[in-house]
Amino acid sequence: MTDSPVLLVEDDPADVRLIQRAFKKLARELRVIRLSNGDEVVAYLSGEAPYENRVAHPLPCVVLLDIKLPRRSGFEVLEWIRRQRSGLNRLPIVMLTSSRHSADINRAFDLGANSYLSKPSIPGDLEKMLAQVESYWMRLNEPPDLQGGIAKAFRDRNV
Amino acid sequence: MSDRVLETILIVEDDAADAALLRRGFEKAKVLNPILHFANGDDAFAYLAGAREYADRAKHPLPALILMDLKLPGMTGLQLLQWKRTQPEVRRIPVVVLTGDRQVSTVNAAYDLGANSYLVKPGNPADIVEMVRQIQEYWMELNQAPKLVMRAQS
Amino acid sequence: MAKATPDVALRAAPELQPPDVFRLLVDSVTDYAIFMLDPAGLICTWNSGAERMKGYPAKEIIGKHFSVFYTAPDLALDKPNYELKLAMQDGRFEDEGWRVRKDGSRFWANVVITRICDKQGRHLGFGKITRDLSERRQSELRYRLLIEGVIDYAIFSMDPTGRITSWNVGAERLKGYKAEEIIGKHFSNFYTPEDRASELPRRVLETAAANGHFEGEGWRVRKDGTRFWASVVVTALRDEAGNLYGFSKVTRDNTERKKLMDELQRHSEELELQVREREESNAELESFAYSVSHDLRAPLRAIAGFAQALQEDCAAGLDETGRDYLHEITSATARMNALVQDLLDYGRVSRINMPLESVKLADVVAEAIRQAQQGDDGMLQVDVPSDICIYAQSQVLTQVLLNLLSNAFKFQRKGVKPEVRISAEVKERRVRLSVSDNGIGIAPQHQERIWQVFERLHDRDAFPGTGIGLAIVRRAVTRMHGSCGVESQINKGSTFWIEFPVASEGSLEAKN
Repeated sequence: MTDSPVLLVEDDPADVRLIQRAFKKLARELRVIRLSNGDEVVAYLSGEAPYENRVAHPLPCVVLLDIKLPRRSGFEVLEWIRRQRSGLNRLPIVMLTSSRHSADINRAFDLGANSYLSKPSIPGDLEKMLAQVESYWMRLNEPPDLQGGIAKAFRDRNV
Repeated sequence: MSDRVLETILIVEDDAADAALLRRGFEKAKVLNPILHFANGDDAFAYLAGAREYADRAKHPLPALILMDLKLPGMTGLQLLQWKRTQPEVRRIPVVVLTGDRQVSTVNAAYDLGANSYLVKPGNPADIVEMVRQIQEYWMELNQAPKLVMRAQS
Repeated sequence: MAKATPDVALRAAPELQPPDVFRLLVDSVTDYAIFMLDPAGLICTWNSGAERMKGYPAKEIIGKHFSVFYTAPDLALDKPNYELKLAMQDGRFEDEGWRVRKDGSRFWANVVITRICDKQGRHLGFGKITRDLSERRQSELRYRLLIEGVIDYAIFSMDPTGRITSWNVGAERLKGYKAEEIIGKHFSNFYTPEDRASELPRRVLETAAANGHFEGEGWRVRKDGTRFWASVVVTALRDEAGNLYGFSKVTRDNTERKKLMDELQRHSEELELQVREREESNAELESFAYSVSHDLRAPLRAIAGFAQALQEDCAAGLDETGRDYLHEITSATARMNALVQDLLDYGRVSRINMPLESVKLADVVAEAIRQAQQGDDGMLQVDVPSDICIYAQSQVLTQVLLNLLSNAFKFQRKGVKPEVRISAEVKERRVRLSVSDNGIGIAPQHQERIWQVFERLHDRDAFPGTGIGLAIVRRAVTRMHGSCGVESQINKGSTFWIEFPVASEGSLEAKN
C-alpha cells in the first residue's frame, strides 16, 4: 500500500470532476494531483519550478494519462517519461482515454504504457474502473524506485 | 469481448507448487482461458519466438497475458524481458512479473526492461487465489488489449 | 594454277630461256602469291602476286621465315613447321586459313605447299602458292546471314569497327537507306543524337564482342529522321581461332508493340494511383470518424455522469419530477451513444475493403438467428436450401440478416403474434433471400424513405431504434454487388428481400 498520490493528466474539466468524484467514493482517502497539459507534467516530474519542493509536490506512484492534451500529447508525455534515465522511466503509466481505436492502443503499448483503459460511457462503470485501478496499482502492484537511476540498478545485478 | 474468452494465458513458473496454486487460482476465478505453463525460460522463449513446432501459430497462438517468475532455469525472467521488448511480434504482450524477490534492484530492473507490472508472491499460499482473481479481472477484462502483429484481423 | 609446258613456252618465245620463262611466268601472276622456301622455311623468291597480296616488297621479305604470314594462334601451335613437315612427308600440303599481311590485316587464304626436290631426289626446298579468298568468304557469310527477301527484319553486317559491309531488303525498308548509300558508313548513323552522345553504339559493339552478342531495345533513326522503336540483336562474328572479324545485326521494328505496352503501363499506373488514393481517403475517413465519434462521446459522458451524480448526491433535494427529468436526461444520452455507434458502423460498412468469398447462405442465416436470440415471442420458419452459395462477406451479411430479422419481429401488429419466414430461391443464376413478416406493413409512399439513414416512420415510444438498420442493409448489400427491396401492404405485413448472383459451387475466386 502506498501513500504516494495518483497523477491524473486530463484536460476535460467534466471528466476531471467525474473522476475525482469517483476517487472520493473509494474506501480510502486518495491524494489526486491533477494536471491538464503535457508541459506541466514534464515540469512536475522533472521537479522544475514551481514543483521543486518534493514534499509539497511528491512524485506519484501511478499516472492516469489521457491522449488528447494541449501542448504535448499523451503519447509525447509517455515517450518523455520512458526516455528518462533517473529512474523516473519506471513510473507506472495507465492510459485513461476515450479512444478505443486499436491504432492508439497499439501505439501506447509500443511506447511503453503499462496499461490502457477506455473511459466508459456508463457512469457507474467509471467508478468500478477506478476502484480497480486503485486496488491494482496502489495496493497489489509492487512500485519501483523512481529515484534510483538505471545505471545503479544494473550495477547491482548480473542480468 | 467474445474474442478474449479464448485467449491464452502463459505462466512461466519453475516451482511446481506455485504453478499448481496459480492454476487453482484461475479455476476458482472461473477463468475459461486456456492456461499454458512452462517451467523453464528456454521453453517459454521458444514458444514466444515461434521456434520449432511453435511456428504453427494456429496450434500455438501467442498469449494475451504473461505471468512470469524471474528465477527460472535456462533463460531468466529478466533475460526474457530484455529479449521480448526487441521483438515486434511479442513486445506488446503485457507481462506481469510474479516472483518472491522483493529487492529494490530487482524490481527496478524488471520495470527498466519493460515489465508491465510486478507482483510479489504472497507469504500465505491461499492469498494467491485472490491475487489471481485480481490479475484476471484487471488484465483480461478491464485492460484494453493491444492487437498483436501476428494475429489475423477479424 | 598456271599450267606450264616448257616446250611450248620455248617454241613460243625463242628469246626466253628456261629459268627466265618460269620467272616471268610466275612474276606475271598477280592473283596468286607464288614463292619458294628453302628447306628451313626461309623465303628465297617472291612474285608480284605475293607483294600485292601480303604487302611486302621482295627485298624486305627474302631471307625471312615464312611463318611471318601466320596469325599468333597459328604460331603458338607451330603450324608453319607442321605444314612443312606434312609437305615433306606427303609431297604436298593444302589448307585454308587466316594469313596476315604486312599491315597486320588478315585475309582468308588457300595455301598449297609443295616439296621441291632435284632430279637426284635431294630436297631443295618448298614451293608455296597462296590465294586470297577473303572476298569469297565474305560472300559466303553474307549468304548465310542474309535471308534475301526477309523484309520484316533489317539484317546487315559490319566490320569490327562498326562500318556496314552488307545490307538487306528489310534493312532498306526499315531504315530507308539503299545499300549503295549506306555500305561503308558507320552504323551509329542509325542511333539518336542522345545515344550517340552517350556512346551507346560503341558500348553495343563492346558488349557484343565481350559476350558474343548484344540484345536490346531502343529508339533508332531512319534516313528521313523519323524515329522507330527497335528490337536489336548484334552478334559478334569470329573465326575458328576466335578472332573477331565483324558483327551481324538484326533489327526489328517494335514501335506498335511499344505503343501498346506503354498504354497498358499507363493504365495500370493510373489504376494503382486510384487504389492508393482510395485507401488513403478511406484511412482518413476512418480516423475522422473515430475522432468525431470520440469527441461526441465526451460531452455525453459528462451529461450522463453528472446526471447520475445529481441523482446520488442531491437525492434529498429532488422530488418525483426532478428524478423523472434526470431519467429522461440519462436515457437521451444512452440514445445518443447508440446513434454515434450506429454512425460509426454505417461508416465502416461503406468504407472497408470487402474481400468477397463464396458463402453458404444457410450458415449465415443460422448465425443471424442465433445472434438475434429471439425468445418464444413469435414464430420463425426457415426455408433456405443448404446448397445455395453467394459471393459475400460473411460477417457483413450476418449483420444484414440480423437487422432484417430484428425489424421483422419488432414491427408487430398489436395483438397479433409475430410470424416470420426466411426463404431463399434461385432464379436465372440469381438468389433472392426474403424475410417476410405479418407485422404493421409499410405504405407505398414510405417504401423508399425507410432505406435512408436515421429515417423512422414511427415515434420512439411505439418502436425503438435509431433508424439506421435498413441504411446499413442497403449500403452493405450494394457493396457486395447485390440489390435489395421491399414488398409490403399496410396492416398485412412486409417482405424484405436481398438478391445476389449465385456463386458457382466450389469456386474459390473472389469477385471484387
